[in-house]
Amino acid sequence: MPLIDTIHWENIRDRSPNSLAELYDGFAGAMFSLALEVLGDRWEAEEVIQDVFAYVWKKPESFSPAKGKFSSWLLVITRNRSIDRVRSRKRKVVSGEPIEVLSNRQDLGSKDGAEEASRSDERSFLRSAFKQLPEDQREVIELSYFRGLNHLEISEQLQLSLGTVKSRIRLGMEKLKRALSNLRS
Amino acid sequence: MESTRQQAIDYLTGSLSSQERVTFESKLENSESTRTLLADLSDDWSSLALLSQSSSPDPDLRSRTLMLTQEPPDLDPFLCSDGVERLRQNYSKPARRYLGGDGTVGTSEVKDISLKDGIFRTYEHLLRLLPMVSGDSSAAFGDFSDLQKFICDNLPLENELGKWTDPLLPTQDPVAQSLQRSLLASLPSLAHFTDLAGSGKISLSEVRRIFYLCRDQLKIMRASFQDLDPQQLAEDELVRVHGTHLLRQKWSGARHSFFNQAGLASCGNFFEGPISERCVEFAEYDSNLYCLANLIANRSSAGGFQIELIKDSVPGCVLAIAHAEVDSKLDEELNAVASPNLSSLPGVLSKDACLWSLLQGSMSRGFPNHSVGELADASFFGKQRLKGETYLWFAWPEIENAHSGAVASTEKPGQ
Repeated sequence: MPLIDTIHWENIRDRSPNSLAELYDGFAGAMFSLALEVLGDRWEAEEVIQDVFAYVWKKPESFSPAKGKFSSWLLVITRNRSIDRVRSRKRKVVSGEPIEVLSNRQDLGSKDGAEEASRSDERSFLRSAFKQLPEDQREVIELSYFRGLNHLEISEQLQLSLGTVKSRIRLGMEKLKRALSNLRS
Repeated sequence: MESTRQQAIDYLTGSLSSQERVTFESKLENSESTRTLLADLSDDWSSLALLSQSSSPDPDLRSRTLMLTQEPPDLDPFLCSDGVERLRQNYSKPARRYLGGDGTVGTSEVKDISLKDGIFRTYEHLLRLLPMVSGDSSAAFGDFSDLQKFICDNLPLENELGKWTDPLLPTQDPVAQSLQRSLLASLPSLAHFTDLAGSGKISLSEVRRIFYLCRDQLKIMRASFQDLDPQQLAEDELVRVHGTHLLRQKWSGARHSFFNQAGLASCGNFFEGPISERCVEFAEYDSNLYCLANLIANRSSAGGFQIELIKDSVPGCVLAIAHAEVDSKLDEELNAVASPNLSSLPGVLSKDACLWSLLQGSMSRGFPNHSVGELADASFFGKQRLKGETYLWFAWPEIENAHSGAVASTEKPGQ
């Protein structure tokens, strides 16, 4: 994860000069990439980013360090707002339709910046670890995280029992956690 | 009974029922270890974001976002002015909100065949343009070639504008007003940016601007001509709450042009909440804001203007204000445009006078129990100058209790 943490939140809460700019420069890319991945729509992804920054700026007290890392919280909010928009489209995943959640699009507007360089190791490591998961675990995690389907919806979509969906997500997440712990240690 | 870990995963993935959610949140409040577990899982869960393909936001998004930190202007001089005080004393909400339909006409009422053709041609052209500038188009990802080709292969909108705009005179005739609203609200700015796209001088932020302008133009045209796209118009008439955030997203940091004179918009005081209940009502609101922006953008001394949305200052209504520092000579032009006596108006100001008459027409639809003259006298809309700053405004009934129903968002065409 990029080096965004409690100090950035404290600076925003205290209205320090440039605090929002520092947060933006350090983390907007990660938030935008996530929003774009979920929404597949650049303008909507930009709107989500503006909404989240407006929320953080106007209501910094919504976060507290007891909730975990500030960076994680920002990504949770970004994802949730993106998923809310996807749900409002009322798109239904048709049973039996090939599932390809993560995009392969080429973003000509994308540039390699310092933030990207610092994140690329962790990103490529996670991608590699993710690819090594059994396909059935990858599939449920993608549907849950990027499509925002709940367990029941995934079980209906994939015609699996609720228990199977839950265990696949749990097992997949545990494997990824171990992989990331190894990287970080 | 499931383990706390499983419950926490279910909570994070949005898979708990509302009752289970309440129970889990109560557990969170009372148990340090549950909070720690959730924070830990939340970090793992969030790390999945790194699986997203890396994309960089448009640099323009940074400046728009950082506008949040700017102190909004002090509006007290305006809000304490005689004009607003007069509104405070006279404001009364209409018996019902605007539901659409009042200002619309059939295209058969447009007698000039070439104008009528132009309406359909422009609408169909914009329907084809919209997906080329939408957020999932190749242009939105930096490849402008298809967009440029499309624009070059089709008649420029500026040509259509040229055919339509001579002569334009202020009027309250519904057919002429529908035509003028279609021509003068968002179309001039849209024509300016599509012209740029056609010449290849365009960036992501301008593609985005074309998207918003195109969407608004389609909506305004449908609301103006009831038989242009009846199916979509029926959708526009459904209850769908529109929030002020839609206006902020569209106007914050936007370059706006009216017949090649451009200005940069910023959003000052913006309350957060619902502003209209239907797309057709939002089309009225949008059109009115475009009229104000068109009048002020090209007269600003500093090249920028501010839009404000104020609630509660005048009980029962929302004030939409566009203001900028304006040279006294140009301010005099606006006095002439807003004057009820148009007989001495210079011809070069006829388009501006049409914008003002469009605002008048819309106000009479929003407040049908008053005449335009009464609305002007009571400052439901108006123009005034305070300390070198020119203010244009209109009042619109606030939404006290929003209908339950769909909420408008960017991706839904026409909203």
